[in-house]
Amino acid sequence: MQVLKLRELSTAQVVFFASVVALDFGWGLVFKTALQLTAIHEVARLEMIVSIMLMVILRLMLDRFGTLILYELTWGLLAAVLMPAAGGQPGFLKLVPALSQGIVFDLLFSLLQQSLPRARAYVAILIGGLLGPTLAVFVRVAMGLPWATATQTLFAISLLTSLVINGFGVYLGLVVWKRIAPLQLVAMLRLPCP
Amino acid sequence: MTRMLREANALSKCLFAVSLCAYAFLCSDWRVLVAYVLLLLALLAMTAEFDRILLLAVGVFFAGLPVLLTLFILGGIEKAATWQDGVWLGLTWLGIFFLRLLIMVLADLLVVKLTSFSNMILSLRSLRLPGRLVLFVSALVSMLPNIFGMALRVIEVQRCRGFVAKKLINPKNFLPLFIPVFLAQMRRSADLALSLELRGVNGATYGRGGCLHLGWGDGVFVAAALLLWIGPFQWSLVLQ
Amino acid sequence: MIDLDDISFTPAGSDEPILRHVSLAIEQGERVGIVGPSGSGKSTLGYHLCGAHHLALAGVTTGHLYLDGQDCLAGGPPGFAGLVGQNPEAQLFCRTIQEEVLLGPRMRGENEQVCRDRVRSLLDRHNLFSRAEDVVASLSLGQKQLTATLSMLAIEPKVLLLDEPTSYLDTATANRLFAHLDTLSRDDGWIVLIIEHDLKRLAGFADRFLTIVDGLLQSDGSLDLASAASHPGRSHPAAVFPRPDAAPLLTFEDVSFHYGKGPTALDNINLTLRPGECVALMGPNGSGKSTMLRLAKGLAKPSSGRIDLASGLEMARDVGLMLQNPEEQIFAHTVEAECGYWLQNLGVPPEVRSGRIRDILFPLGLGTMLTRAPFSLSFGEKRRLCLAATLVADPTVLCLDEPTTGLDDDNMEIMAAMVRDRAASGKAVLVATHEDAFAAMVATRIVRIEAGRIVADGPAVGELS
Repeated sequence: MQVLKLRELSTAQVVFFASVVALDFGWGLVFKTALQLTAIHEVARLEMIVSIMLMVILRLMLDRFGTLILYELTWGLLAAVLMPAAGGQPGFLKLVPALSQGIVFDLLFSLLQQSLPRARAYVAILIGGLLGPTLAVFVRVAMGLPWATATQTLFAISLLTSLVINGFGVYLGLVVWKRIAPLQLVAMLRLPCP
Repeated sequence: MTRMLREANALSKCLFAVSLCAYAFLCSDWRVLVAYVLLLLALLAMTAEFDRILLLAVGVFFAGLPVLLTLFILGGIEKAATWQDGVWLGLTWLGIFFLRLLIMVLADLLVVKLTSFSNMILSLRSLRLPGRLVLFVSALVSMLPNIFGMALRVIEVQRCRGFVAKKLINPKNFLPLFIPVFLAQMRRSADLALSLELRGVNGATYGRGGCLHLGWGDGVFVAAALLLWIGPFQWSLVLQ
Repeated sequence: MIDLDDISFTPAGSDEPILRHVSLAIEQGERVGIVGPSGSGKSTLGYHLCGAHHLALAGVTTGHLYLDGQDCLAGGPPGFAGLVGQNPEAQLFCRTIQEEVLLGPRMRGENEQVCRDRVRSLLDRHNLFSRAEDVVASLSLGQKQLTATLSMLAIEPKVLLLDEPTSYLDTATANRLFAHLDTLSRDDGWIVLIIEHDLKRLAGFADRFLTIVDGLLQSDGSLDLASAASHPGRSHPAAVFPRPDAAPLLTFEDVSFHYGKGPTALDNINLTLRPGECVALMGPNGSGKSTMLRLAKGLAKPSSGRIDLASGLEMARDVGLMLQNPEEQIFAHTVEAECGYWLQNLGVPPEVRSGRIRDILFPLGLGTMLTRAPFSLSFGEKRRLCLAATLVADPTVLCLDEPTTGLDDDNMEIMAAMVRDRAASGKAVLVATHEDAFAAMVATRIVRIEAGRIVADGPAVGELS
């Protein structure tokens, strides 16, 4: 399993990595907050489609264990600073589901690299994507949310919609990857395949 | 006093915020939680910065209340013998939950309001973190303000060709927005990196410099972070 | 100082080199213009001359490259070159103008006072000293371009490459910049390399021209401005098609507009567009040309006044708007899909779509590229594809925002021919442009805008002379 080494990255790759996180964040800043004002956000994180697409493409470009962990860590910190009340988790607690997801994503992407070069994206994102809502509910229950029927129903719906949305995100991410992979710009920013 | 707190290192502020959040997690006494909420509100008022992030955070926070109310009341009714007791139980739980949530959000906001971005970068560099990591954070913050404008421009371009927002119900319609914005970001990254490299800014050089300077403000934050867990404040945890 | 011997560059994933067997030498103090059609390899050559090819390109360079006596095939030495690209906004990193210009000298570890003195002198020379603490994000494009340029001047490189350095600058600022560059090359021996489409301005500065065509160095020496100026397309007068008695297709009546709580972008605009007319909106950057086009398309509503279309016309269907940057539009997997996006959104059936797409792509020279990935097209081809994607819905009113930015003469001529055909068929065209040559090729009427107000409105022949 090849691990992401910061010293291996060129300045362009570092800046590109940062720009993808910025893109995920900036794109979602208004979108996420607007959805938060409706009940839809309690069960379906629609804005996650773009986040998933970005993560898939980034992981394929910087194909190393640690890429998505760093991504989720940075995203979580930014969210804690710029959207402290949005996204369900308050403040720095956003890091809990974010980091856990990142670890599972990276593990599965790396472990399945040889056996499922394309399908690994589906496996990693779908499995890791279940962990996010699970931990999010776990944190809220730990803070005092009653584990009653209503909460359980909401949780089940959020898991199901998470699967659907993540599935779409991976599909679209791979469509985009197919279109942009031959570009010279991608060749310049990509890490050599391990 | 605000100035002293502003000049404190970003790391000590984060330590205080994390300590307070952890404490709020464990404390069940509404009186203590209310006291901390009032303290944080007072500190926030002293910063006198009521900008969009603050208003947005407050707005979003309270906008989520109806759903929480429903969940807690239904949960309370399920646990209690009568529906009246259930409603009261749910509201009690909601009160504690809400106070904990509020403390975390306010602590977060306080750190953000008392810390300028350049101070945060200086703090990171003083830790002697890898230069690439510091460059990563700097580039992230440098690019963030432009994303929204770029995304709006692409939306406008596609609107000229008949794109309407309701088409996003079909996720395939994300592509006309996503791809141009993503490619524009890639080009921007490459251009910025080239400009930085030519000016001698790269991962190896960017981490140099910066020393960890601690002042009275840092002392206040560190002391506050520790006092939450020791001394007279410990009684609030015993009360659980 | 710069010595290239049989340099070729093949991009990653391709077998065809885009720079072929280039050999030349450039001495200290030379001022060199790099010219050629779009996609010919100008920027690629420029990167190699700076030793920045390993940073800016992915691919293989063969041959011999010596910079300041050192073998630099793998890349130039740090601090040797400075570079300002076509997109100055993308190159800015710091919060304020002063920080941006100080960044390079500071990173080299120079004494802080020396850095500040040098930066002060630079800013002062270019009238930016009073704005040193201004936030970069609040600057106009021209100011950003100037800031990016000064940030490179501050590192005092031996070679400076500027790609379209005056595209966003007003005349006075551009003249000041060129005067400064002139001093730097004559007195301090800097090599200044400029990629520029405006040959007249370039001719006033450069004393040597490298002409690149299809990756080959076609000529190296002086430029024949006379033959460039007598390009058939450039002297072609616009045919006159307006129908003054016909009912207007588009009318601006006492239109004013401002962005949010900002200053007024348009003030009391009155304009009428009739069938057969091609109106060129001309004026400095920030004068309100693009805003007028956006309002015409219905992307925003006027703050006061009204915008009317002829009876039976709708903005969504009958007004086409092509914005400035084709890269902000292209997303599809094939040229055909990209071209047909608007028709798809209008609900046109696939079989009808295919026919209309073919009809519009062939005259624009893209008919044989239907299944090609649009990302693989050259800049000029992308610009033509964007025009096709707008024309395919056959809009009655066609709006074009700076359609010739970055285009060479051949592409400009193709675009001009298309615009003339539109007007000839009874449609109307509204073009925002700062290119006098293009306006001369297409416009029946020139409207000059300054600070959001129309200051002149008359026939093209009188206005442009």
